[in-house]
Order: sequence, then structure tokens, then C-alpha cells
Amino acid sequence: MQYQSRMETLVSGLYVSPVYLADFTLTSKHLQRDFDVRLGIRNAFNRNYSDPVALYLTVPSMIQPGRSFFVELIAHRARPGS
Amino acid sequence: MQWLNDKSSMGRLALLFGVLLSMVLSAEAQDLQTPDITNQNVDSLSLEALMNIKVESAALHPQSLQDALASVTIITAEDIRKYGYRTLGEALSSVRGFYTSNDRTYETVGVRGYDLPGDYDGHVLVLVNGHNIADNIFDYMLFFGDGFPIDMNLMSGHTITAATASWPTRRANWPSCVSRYLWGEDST
Repeated sequence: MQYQSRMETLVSGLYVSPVYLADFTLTSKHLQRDFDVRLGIRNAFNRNYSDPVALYLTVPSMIQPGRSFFVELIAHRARPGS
Repeated sequence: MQWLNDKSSMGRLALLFGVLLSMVLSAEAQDLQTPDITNQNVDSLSLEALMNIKVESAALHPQSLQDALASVTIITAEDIRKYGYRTLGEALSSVRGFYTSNDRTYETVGVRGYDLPGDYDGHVLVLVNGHNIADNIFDYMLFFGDGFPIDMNLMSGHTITAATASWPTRRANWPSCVSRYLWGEDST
């Protein structure tokens, strides 16, 4: 769980709103000798938030990604001692 | 925050904040008295053992945590596995005082107000095994997202040391390269 406070943009007096973000991650440990799996959710509550940016003067903030999922397959080299 | 844009006034500040982010191979930075934090839970260490953990990133030479003039957070390989950090930015956003910013092109890391939009981490020094990996043209560090050259799953045996340091502006005892990277070319 992360809290991002209100931040000022390059446009004087314009702020992006504070937001709470929740991430969840499920990781296996020694699922197989050489493989593990990781499942995760980012921005689990699909909060709408923005970051201050400086790409163009007319674009002081950029909307950030909503809820996203990922599945990760992790391959290990031989573990020490295995 | 006008003073951030005024480089001459930056030099008159009594203290400035800088950031050193360093990935150090633990085994290289440790001596016999230093606990190996790579493969064990740091919660099990005594306070004395924690204070004797060696870090290099705070002053670019090995020193114990209690001697480091910095707020130091160490992220171990076990932390990376447990919390599922997929990018360096995700890992650093868990450190007190650090925050990330994403303009859909680059992901950057800020600390205590540094990294204004458009700074592109010109005030942040990132070392991988002691080597600065900022780009050598603009001195930007733009690799906190997917562009970081080391996959986070390859961090076993490594630690990330995030240090927020405060230094006097007179840099007589500091290597010029450090001051340049931290304060800009005209710092005093």
C-alpha cells in the first residue's frame, strides 16, 4: 500500500490529487527445482491518478495506468547446494 | 521552489540533499565483522550487527551504517522476491522519502522534492558495482522503469542501497565528480 501526496505541477497553482495505491504480489518459493511463478496486481483498486510531467507546457500532468495484472515465470540457474 | 532553478542560490545553502543509489555486491563490501545480509532476514540481526553493516554508496567508500552521514535503506534480494518488485523504481518507491514519476516515456525517481518534472534525475547518482550508469551526454538517469539494464530477478546475491545524504556545499573533501553529479556543474 502506498500513499502519494498532492504534488504541484509546473503550472503554478495546479496540483495532482493525493492517492492511495494498492499492489498485491503472490510469489512461489521453490515451486519447481528451476522455476517459480509470480502473480501480481498493480493499482488493484483501479484508482485514477496522475503524475506531474514536463513534456509540453500544455500538458502539466499525465494519467497513470489503472489496474493491471501480470504473470511472471522465473527460471533459476542451479541453486547453491541443490 | 524558485530556488531550485536558481543555481547560484543553491550554492549558498548550508546543506543540500543528494541521493546516491548504489547496487553493491555485498561480499565485496564486507569484512569479517560485517554480517552477510544477502541471504538472511535482517530482522534477525541484533542492533549492533545492523549498525555494522557496511555501505559504500553514502560516501563512495566502505563505512558502517552508524558512520554513514546519510539516511540509508537496504533492500535485499529477499525483499525483492517477497514484494515482487519488477523495476528499480518500484523497489525505490518503498523507501521513505522516495517517490516515482512516470510521463509515459521515462520513469524517474525523486527524493525529498528533488526531481522536479523535467529534471530526469540529473541530481541522482546511480552506481552499479561502483560504476555510474547515467547517460554520458545529458547526465540523466532514465532507467528506473523497464529500461534498467539488470533484471530485478537477477538481484540474488546483491543488495540495493538507497542513501539520502546531506552534505555541506563546500566540497573540499569530496571528489569533484561526485559534486558535479549531485549539484550540477556550477556548484561550489
